[in-house]
Amino acid sequence: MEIAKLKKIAYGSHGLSLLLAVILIILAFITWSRWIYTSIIYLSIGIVQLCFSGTLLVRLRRKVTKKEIGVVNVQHSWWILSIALASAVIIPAPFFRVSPIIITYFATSFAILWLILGSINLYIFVRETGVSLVV
Amino acid sequence: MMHSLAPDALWASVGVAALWGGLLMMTTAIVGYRGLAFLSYLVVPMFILLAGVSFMLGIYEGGGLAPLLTITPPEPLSISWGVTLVVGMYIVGAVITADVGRYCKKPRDAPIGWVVQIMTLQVFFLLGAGALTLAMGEPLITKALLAGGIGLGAYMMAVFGQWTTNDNNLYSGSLSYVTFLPVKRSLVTLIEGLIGTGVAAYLGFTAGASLEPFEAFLGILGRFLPAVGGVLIADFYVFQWYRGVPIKERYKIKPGMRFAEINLAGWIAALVGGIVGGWLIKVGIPALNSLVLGFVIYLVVSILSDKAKIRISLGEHIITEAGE
Repeated sequence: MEIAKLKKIAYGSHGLSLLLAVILIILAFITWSRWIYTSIIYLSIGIVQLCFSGTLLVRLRRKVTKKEIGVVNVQHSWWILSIALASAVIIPAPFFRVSPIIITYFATSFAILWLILGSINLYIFVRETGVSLVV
Repeated sequence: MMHSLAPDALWASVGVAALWGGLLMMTTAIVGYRGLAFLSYLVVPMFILLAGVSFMLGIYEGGGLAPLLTITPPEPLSISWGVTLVVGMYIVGAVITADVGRYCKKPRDAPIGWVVQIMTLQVFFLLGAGALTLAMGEPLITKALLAGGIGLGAYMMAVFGQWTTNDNNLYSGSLSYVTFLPVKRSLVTLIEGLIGTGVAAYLGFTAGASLEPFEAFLGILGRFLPAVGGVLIADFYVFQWYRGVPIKERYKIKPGMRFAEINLAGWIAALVGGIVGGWLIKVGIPALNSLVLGFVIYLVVSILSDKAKIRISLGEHIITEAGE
């Protein structure tokens, strides 16, 4: 796969991840008055994912070789994937459910989307750039 | 832990959980460093988040931060026993950390990584667990998480908590054996893993679920193993300096290098320091006594034997091309 296409995939997937993080932060503000603990969790997850995806977009600009692009993407994809796994476990927990329940479903679906994005990114960048899965 | 989460389920009974927990531990340990890293990448952020959740749940169950800080456990421990238990919980990791830290890209990365995780993450984990268990009056963190409404997170913590700890220990144990046994690391890992799993399952089927043997075991580790840490610190920072080895060259393992298979000075210092410091001295903190004695005895024995030109080691191991 060409470098330009690899960068396009990275920008696309992490751009989407960034968008999900922003929406989760908005959900955190919505849930603030309903159940503050849920709000804090959403806010924490949203900010962390925002940082991971946002910093990748900045770091990627300076990377020119396939290997460099691969390493940076694998690092950030792992971070997003592992936070997503934790989020997928914690967000739907009874303690953090809020009314209306659709908010919890939305937030959980974001976690699952991050899981999918992170997994696909890892697969693509390890296969196409030849970098190790454990960098 | 699994048994306390699902007391009626056969798969979560102590013996059966020991069997499948042992199998999980062996899978990543046999793969080696990459297997350990893979699992850590996946679950460590989850632990960080769960620690935060525990803290929040503790505040909620305790009725706020101020009331939480006033709660005292029904049977408080002495500070020295508390330090020994905490050291016991972590001393194995501290002693074997060099086995994993050697993969760092720069020499300074290992101490930075270790200090950061001990000073920040570990404190955060303990605070989270302490807040929740104090507020709920339940000594098992996983059970407290489940009772507090964290659901799947409690199970994940039980499964991955033991997995990430045990696979590191098994990996490190196998590395120790291959320094003096001419066998592949993966085979040693498998054999060690099977023995450990078998013993754990046997204890699980016969002794059942009780925290007492585990606490007693932590006590033994906390009293004895700091002496091993003392020996390592003394050898790396003082004895190597005494021998004139530059700090950047210390423990730099290269194919063809020769090492003693058994360093008797280390064994003597660890045994005497651990027993005397951990059990016989009745003042101070046993973990600290053990560490200091291990440190001092090792230096005294090593330097004296070096000055007297007496060889205090047995056997010789040559580092292979694979670096093992």
